Amino acid sequence: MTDERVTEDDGPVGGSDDRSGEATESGGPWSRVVVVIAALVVVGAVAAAVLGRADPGAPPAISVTDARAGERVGTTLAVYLTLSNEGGPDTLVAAGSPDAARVQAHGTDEVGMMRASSELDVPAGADVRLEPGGTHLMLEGVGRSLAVGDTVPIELEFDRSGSVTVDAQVVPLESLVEDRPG
Amino acid sequence: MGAVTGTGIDQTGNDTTSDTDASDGRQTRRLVVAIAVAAVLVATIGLLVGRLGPRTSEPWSGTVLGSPVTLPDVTLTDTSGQPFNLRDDSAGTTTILMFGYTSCPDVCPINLASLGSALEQLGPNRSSSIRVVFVSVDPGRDQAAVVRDYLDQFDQDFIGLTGSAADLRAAQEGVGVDRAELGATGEDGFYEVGHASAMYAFNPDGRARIAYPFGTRQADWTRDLPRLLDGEQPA
Repeated sequence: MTDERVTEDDGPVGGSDDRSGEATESGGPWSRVVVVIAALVVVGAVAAAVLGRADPGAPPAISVTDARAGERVGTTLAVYLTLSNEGGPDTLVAAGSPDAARVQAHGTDEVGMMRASSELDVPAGADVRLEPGGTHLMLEGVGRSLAVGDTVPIELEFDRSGSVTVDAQVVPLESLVEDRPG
Repeated sequence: MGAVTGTGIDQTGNDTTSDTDASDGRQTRRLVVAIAVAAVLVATIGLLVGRLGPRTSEPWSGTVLGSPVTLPDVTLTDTSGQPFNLRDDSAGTTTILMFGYTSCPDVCPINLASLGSALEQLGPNRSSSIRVVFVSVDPGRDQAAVVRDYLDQFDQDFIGLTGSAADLRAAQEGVGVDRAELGATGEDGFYEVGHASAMYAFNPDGRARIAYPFGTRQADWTRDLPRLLDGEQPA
């Protein structure tokens, strides 16, 4: 019995010692690393979810920059600008200008097909760029003759931020594609 | 003496060794110099050949078409009311063809302005050999006078064409572009037109090997147009 016990004890004890030794040397650190990584992943995911979540309650903080328009050649005029939103989500719901009968957001797809959009989402933390060949504000029925250097006042109406007015600089048409790569 | 001799032997031995090292070093240096000279020569010759020889490897600003496009045998009407056959009346001239409409706020004016300013930069001698053809796909609003007034703001030599819906469809299908679509009419009667935004460069033989997408800059045109005029073609 004693022998057996000893043998049994020795066996399992020795075995477990060996195993635990092996585990400490190889499996132990790895499992710890795995646990740490897993923990970091979880913490990171939670942090990202918390920080990056578009908090619908946060007020939008929209700034409008780089507003420019090409010289007028027809009765329409495109205005390009960047909407930067450092707060919660917002939507551009309307636009107007004292210089135009109507202002509407237009998107242009890859093949140059224009699509009118009555609204333009400005997600939380996003920069929405209205650029030549892409989305732009189209001014229809532009009455005033506009030359390079003039400014066109543009009133943007946001769902939550309310009204924001910006002056678009009139620039030479060909300059609108000058800063494009390639 | 012995020591001296020994030293001499040692020195001789050392000298011999260092002599070998030195000659090896000299040979290596000579080899390096020779390689460097050869490299400089090769580079110089390469540059000269590249400069003087055919510049076929120089990239084009435009998009090289997989298969050439031929000007379609379609007759439209120009802004003076005269018939203009795309194939026959463009023969023998380098022709930049584009589709658009005068109420176009974004693509058309930028395309026309960039091309127009490039032609201005090329000077009258060269630009007079290039014909720009603007096909209005909006015949409902773009009467001859409207198109003329519009194009004159870019270049009085730009040719403006339009035609029946059937002829315009044939022209667009012939060039291989998506057919223009009229958008919904707004409360104020305004409607937009979706249309192809690329410009096709046809050679005097009526075939285009390159198209210029929207966003082609003045500098892109001034780089490619002289090459096209000189008859250079993409490989």
